[in-house]
Parts: sequence; C-alpha cells; structure tokens
Amino acid sequence: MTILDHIRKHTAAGDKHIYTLILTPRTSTLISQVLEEEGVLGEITILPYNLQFIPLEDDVISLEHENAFKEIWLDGDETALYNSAQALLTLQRLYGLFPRILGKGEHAERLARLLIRLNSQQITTPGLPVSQGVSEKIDSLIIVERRADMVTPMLTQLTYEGLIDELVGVSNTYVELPANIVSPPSQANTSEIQQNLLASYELNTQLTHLEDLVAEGADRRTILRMMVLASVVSGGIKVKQLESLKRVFLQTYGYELLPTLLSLESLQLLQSNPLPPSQAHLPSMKLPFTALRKQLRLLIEESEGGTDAMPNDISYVYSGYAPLSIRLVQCVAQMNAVLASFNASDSGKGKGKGKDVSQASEMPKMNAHPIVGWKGFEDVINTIPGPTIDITQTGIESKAQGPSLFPKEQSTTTVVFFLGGCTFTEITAIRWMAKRTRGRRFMIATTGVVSGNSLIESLLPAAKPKTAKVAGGSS
Amino acid sequence: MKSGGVDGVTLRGGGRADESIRAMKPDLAFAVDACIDAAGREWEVVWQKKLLDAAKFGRAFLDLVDPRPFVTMGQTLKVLNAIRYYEIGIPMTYQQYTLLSPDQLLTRLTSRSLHLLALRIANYLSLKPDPILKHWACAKIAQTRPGGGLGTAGGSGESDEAVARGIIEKFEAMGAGAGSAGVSYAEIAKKAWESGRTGLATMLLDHETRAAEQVPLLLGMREDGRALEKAVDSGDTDLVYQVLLNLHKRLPLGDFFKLIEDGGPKVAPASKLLQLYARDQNREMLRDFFYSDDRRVDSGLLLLEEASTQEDISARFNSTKAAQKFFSEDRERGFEARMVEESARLLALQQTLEKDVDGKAPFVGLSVSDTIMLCIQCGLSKRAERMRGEWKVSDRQYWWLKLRALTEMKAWDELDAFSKSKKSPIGYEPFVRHLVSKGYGKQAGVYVARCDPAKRGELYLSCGEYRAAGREFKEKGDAAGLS
Repeated sequence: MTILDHIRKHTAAGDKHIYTLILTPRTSTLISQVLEEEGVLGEITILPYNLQFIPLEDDVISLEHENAFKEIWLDGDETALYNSAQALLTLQRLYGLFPRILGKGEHAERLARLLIRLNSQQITTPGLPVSQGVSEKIDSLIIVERRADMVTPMLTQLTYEGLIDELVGVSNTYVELPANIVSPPSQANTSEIQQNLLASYELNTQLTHLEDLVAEGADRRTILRMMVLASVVSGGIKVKQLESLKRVFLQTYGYELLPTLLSLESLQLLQSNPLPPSQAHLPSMKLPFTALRKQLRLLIEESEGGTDAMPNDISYVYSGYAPLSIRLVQCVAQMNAVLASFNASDSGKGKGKGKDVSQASEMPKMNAHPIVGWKGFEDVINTIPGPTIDITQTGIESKAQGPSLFPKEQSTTTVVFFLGGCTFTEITAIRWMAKRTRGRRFMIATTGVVSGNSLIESLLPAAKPKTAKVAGGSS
Repeated sequence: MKSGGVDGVTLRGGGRADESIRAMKPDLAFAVDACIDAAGREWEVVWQKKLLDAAKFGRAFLDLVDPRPFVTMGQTLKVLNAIRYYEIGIPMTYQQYTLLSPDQLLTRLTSRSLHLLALRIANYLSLKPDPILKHWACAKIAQTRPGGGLGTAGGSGESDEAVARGIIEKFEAMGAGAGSAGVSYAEIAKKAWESGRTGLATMLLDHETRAAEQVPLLLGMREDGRALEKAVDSGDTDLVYQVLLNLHKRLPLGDFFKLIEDGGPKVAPASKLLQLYARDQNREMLRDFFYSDDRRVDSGLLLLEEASTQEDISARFNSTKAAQKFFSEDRERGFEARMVEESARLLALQQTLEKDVDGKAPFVGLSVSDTIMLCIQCGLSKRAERMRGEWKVSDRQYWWLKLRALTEMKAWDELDAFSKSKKSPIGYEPFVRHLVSKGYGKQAGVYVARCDPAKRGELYLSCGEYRAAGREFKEKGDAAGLS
C-alpha cells in the first residue's frame, strides 16, 4: 500500500493519526508536489534524514544508492553525484581536506569540482566543525567512475563473496536464499568466452558461441554481459554480426528487450563498428583496450601470478585478469605493483614458457610511497577517454609543502571512491593492495556494491506480472 | 577606585617602585586588575593611558598572568574613544558598552549609516562585517538611484554597472560575499530588484554562489533561462526540479519546451530530469515533448512501453504499429523498425494460435522462441515449421528449440526421428548434454555414438553409462579415463 492509500484508509475510517514522512538523504520537491496535488500535504510532516555513508565493513562505506549507474549515465540524473559530494564533504569536515584529489572520467571530474565548490561555500551544519586544514590522516581521494571500466563488472567474479553475489545476489550485506539452494539453476559456462574476449582471440567464434548459448536458453543477463564485454573490449562489433546477434537475442528473450538494447547503445556499451553517421561525431567513450592490456599488464600468465594462497598480483580475483579500475588505483597508490608486473613478464620472456610456479615469488611487502598523482603513467592514463583529474587542496593553515611526506611509523589512509558502484572483487583487490603495503590503509567508499547482473538488471524493463513457463524457460 | 596598592604602583622612580611592588606582592594581582578596571571607567585618555601603563608595569612582576583582560580593555577603550569623539557623539559608558555588547554597538552605528567606522571596528575586533556591508550596500543602492535617491537632495545617479562594481569590490575586499555564510549577494540583489533596478540585481545575483539563494530570486525576476542555467550548474537536482515545476506551472507548454530547447547543451541535464519526471507523472507531456523535438526513437519507445502494459490485444497491436511507424521515419533505425514490425506480426499470430488451441495455452506475450516451442508442445509442428521460415530462424537455433521442446514433452521417439531427419547442424553433443542436464541420462546414451569419438568416453560417463565408457577408454588406451 502506498502512503496515500494508508492516509486515505485512515481518513475514511475516521482515524486520526499524526503522519511523519522521513526522506533520506534529503527532502524532495517532487514528493512534496505530488502530495500537494493529492491533497494530503497538509497532514504530513516531512523531515530529512541525512544518512550518508553506511559502514558495510571496517573498510567499506557505502551510500547504498541503488541504480546509481543507470541514473547517472543513462537517465542523466546527477542526484547521486550531489549526494556523493555531500557525503565526501562530511568526511572532509571530520578529517580535514583531501590533500590530493585524483580521478578519471567526466563525472569523476564533475564530482571533484562539485566537492570543491560546496566546500568553499562553507555551508555549515550545526554540530560539525568547519575544518579548513588539510587532513593529516587521509592522504588522498581517488575517484573511480564505474563507466571508465565496464570490462571488470561484466566478468564472472571468482572470489568467494563475488561468486555468492553472482549466484544469489547480495543486498545491503544480506542474502536471500532461494528455495532450491541445494540445486541452483545451472549457469551457462562463459568462462572460455570471457577469456578469449579479454585476449582478443577470434571474436567471431566467440560471438557464434554466444548465439549458441542463446539458443540453449541461457540467462539473458549473462548474454547481455557477454555482448557488452565483446563490444567494449573490441571497440565495437561489425554491423552485420551485431544485428544477427541482436535479432537472435530479441527472438529468444522477447522484443520487449529492444529498449534495453537501445539503452546499451546510447551508453556506448553495445556499439557497431563503424558507428552510424549520426553518432560518429559524438564524444567517444571507447576504451583502447588492447593497448591498455599491454601497457597496464591486465592479463597475467598463470605462471607469473603467484599461487592461490599467495597471489602476487591483483589479477588473482579474476584468474589472470587485473581489474582495470584497480590498476588505475595502483598507479596512484601502489606504483611498484604496476611496475613490478612489467618486470615479471619481462623476466618471464627470457625464461620461456612453462615457468616454474614456485619461481614467481610473492611480491614483497613494500612501504607506502607518497602520493604523487599520476606521475609516471600520464601517457597511459590520457589514452582512456574522459578528463584526468589531479587537484591539490591547500587549507588555510597548510603545513605540507609539496608531496605529503610522513614518518614511516605513521600510517595514512587513502580513500577510493567508486562513483557508480564497485564489485566484491574490486573490494578484495584493494584489500590485497592494503596487505602488501606498509603504512597505507585503504578506505573503500562507493555509491553501492554492484555486479554485472545488477548493472544489467537496472537496464531491463520492469518485471511483467504474468510469465509463461515453457521448456527450459528463457527469462 | 583607588587603593593604597594602586597608589604604590603609579609611583615612578626606580628603587622605590621596586620596593613598593615587593611590599604588596600578595595583593599585586588584585592591584593590576583594579588598574585595568579603573582605566575602563576613565573618560580622559590621559588617565586611561596612565592606568594601563601601571597595570602593564605591575604585570611584569606576576608569574602567571592572563593577558586577556588587559588586551580586551585596550581594545574596548579604543572603541569607546572612537565613538565618544565629537563627530560621532555617542557618550557611552564602559558599563553601557559591556551590557550592550560590541555587536549591538555595530548595529547602532550601522543604522546611523556610519558604515566606515562600523567596518573598522568590526575588523579591529574580528567580528563579521557582513551585516554592516549588507546595510551599506542597500543604502548605496537607494542613494545612487538615477534621478535622485530617497531623502538625499540631488542624490548621485550612478549606472547599474558602477554600483554593482562598487559593491562587489567592497565585498571582496572585506572578505565577505561569495563564500561567506553571512551576507548574501542574493539579499542585496533582491533589494535592487525591489527598487526596480533589474539590471543591477542581475549583475549582483551573478556573484551569488549559493544557487539555493540565487535561483528563487531569478525566478521571481522572471529570468527563467538564467534560473534554469544556474540550477543546473549547482548540481543540485532538487533545485532543478523546483525550477522546472515552477516554470511548467507558469508558462504555456510551448514556451516551456522552447525555453529548455533554447538553453542548449548547458541545460541538457534539466531536459533529462524533465523527461524522468514526465515519465512518472505526466506521460502526455513526455509525448508532446518528444513530438515537438522530433525525437522519433523516443516517441517509438514510449509507445512500445505503453503497448507492454495494455491488456487489450488490439490496443497493444495498434500501439506497436504506431511505434513501428516512428522508427521507420528514422533512416538509421531500419533494424529497430524491422524488429518492431516482427513483434506486431508475432502478436497477431499469437492471437490466432490461441484460437487454434481454444485458449488452452497462453501464447500472447511469449517470445518467438518460446512460441515455437509451445507450438511443438501443443502438437502444432506445422505451425512451428512455418514460423521458422517466416521469422528466418537459423537452423542452429531451430534445432535447439526442437531439442528443448521435445525433451520437455519426453517425446523420445519423436526426438529420435527428428535427430535422424538430417545431419544435425548443432552436432549431437548438445543432445547428450541437454538430456543429461534435465536428468534423462538413459535417453542421452543413445546419442553418444553419433558424437565425436574423442569425446565419447567422457560423454558416456556423464550419462552414467559406465560400461560403455569403459569400452571407449579401453579402445583408445586411455588409462586416465578408465580410472
């Protein structure tokens, strides 16, 4: 029952109640408007409850803003951005200004600018000190926007929590187990397709396999994820093939998914190559994936990755693929790890294939280096579409001059904010980084925890009330 | 109040002063405080100075001394002296000043238009200059009205630009205005607007950084385009909604849309938000918006959405056809137009099919694949074949559909016959794997013989046919498989 239904029911029964509506994180003009139009505004007291970051774990805080990705990038609704800025502002008020703000992506830049602007307006909230000094506890804020790396979430997560999220779905740290937990629905095995796509190996063959999976009646979300992966990694799919794939998809899962395909197209996540003339002039969000794969060592050979028990690179979370988003974080906060993977493969070349696993030693724990922005990786970073952000903030009483140096004993915290959501695997990867770094802790902040399925689901049409059951089911 | 101790301290002369100080050591602190207090109550500067000097002298001999009373008194006296000056003429006593508080004094000075003095005092005492500046700015606006100001004989008529510049420069010099939480440009701008100086108001408002203050005034001034722009700039989506709702209420629809269109890419976020709002609350408006903007794809999508919620089949069909028309009007949307046409055709066919089975099976709403499979399951295999042709379903796709449908029906003979009808385009491994996955291992075994020899051993295993598996492995000498 909606709020209106409740009120009307009470009024009809002659019950008198006091109504209070609490909206989080703030009140909304639209809601007031609707209530006014329905004639009940006068009976309700509307209050804001400024709930910002919710701690999900010791090192993970989340706004739990569902569908932030869809809202920002598909709908063009930047409410999530505004709320994120307010939440980060609170962090600044509590711990001091972020000495350095780094990031990548158009919306990451908007967030950074919004944060700076709101801060300079010194909108005071009673109770919190207006801190103008630069933080001594936090050394930087790294903003990663989801859109900058759409490869990672499309892959099947292989960490424990990640896998649970893939199979059952974790929501607000809770899992709702389906009745058939003992014999869960069979998942289409797309690992070979994923590996081949990442390696840019025989794209046509992978697409044909994908069509077969469609024929078998695989989960439509899985198919969409693979389609997106293929498009993003390859910079688009040939027109004829794409049309064939889309046709088979629509015929199998229903024409009502046409809007979803169009949404993916407008997000530039499912593109034809070459683009149709009307879209050719639009700013491109294409990832130069093959170049990045090489320059940032996104694919790590099994022999170089250490063991399961002692992985020596973040790529263990995807069995040999290092999440691009986390590599970016490493460029800022764990440079030696990115460079080390260069050295590992160089030395690997000399020794030939079949390198003994034990020889790939665990990466030694290293001291945290001061934050120097994107230094050393500027060329690579600039090839990724979207502005590159590197802002230094100096408070009124600025103590530090130049890169923040701190005594070895003191540890600093680096805040990594995922605008649009992060996956469990990305959280795990950052935790690995934290374990391998002496003197630096990571605080993972995000608009929410997402998975490939949750991202795709936000683009699907609302569930139909009646569903027909047929052989195997193809929903 | 003069005590012996005070007398002692005001004495000059080296040694005797020392002696006196030592003599009153226990009372020294009290004496110092008394000097400070006395200084406050003196009206003559000479005596104020003497008493403060004495206090300073005595302080030097104290160990722990709080400097604040001394410093504060110095400041207070400076202020009091300033206002008691004949040109200002406020004969305030120390007691009155303490009771009144410096803030109130500033208010009084301000209301007497003694802005400069008030600002200097505020600065000196580190108090916020904002209320003073606000008052000053408003006064300036009133005074500099072209053609003479209120109450000022032949008041200077300055241009809006000059006044704006003057105010802005002053604010920035004093560190108020943009960014400070005190006076807002918006308030001053409002005053300017109320005096009819809209140009001045706009210029001032431009410097207001807090959109929440800026925007409502812009709306009040009917500066609709700017209001929308500033709201979008602020990043505050709620503010944008406020503006949109306000404009929608006030303006005729055509003007409303034009305003957004004319705003260009700068107000694109507002356009997006409007669409979101309309989608939820006002479909009519959304339809009109898309139509007026020639957005064929969006119009088409809207119709498709409507179609999906319509219960009545013919209404659904009509909406779909209308959607198809929109898509076909866009040259780059040939594929989409074809797909929508197919969906309309499917709907019509499904209606027929439901009649064929006397409504015993629900065809409407299914996808093409599901429809084909349901046909097979209902024994309408000819229909299924026809669909295969009409919808250009590939061989691979069709064989999978047949396999799945017949498995569901447990129609083993039919499945067998079908599998032999021609060489399977999907091979026979899918037969084995699918049957096994559905729990029909025994039936699956039949098809293993037709599979790739290299895979047979493993396939037999998956069917639970251990003996056959054993044979295969033995034939190949596959020891690992045997174990």
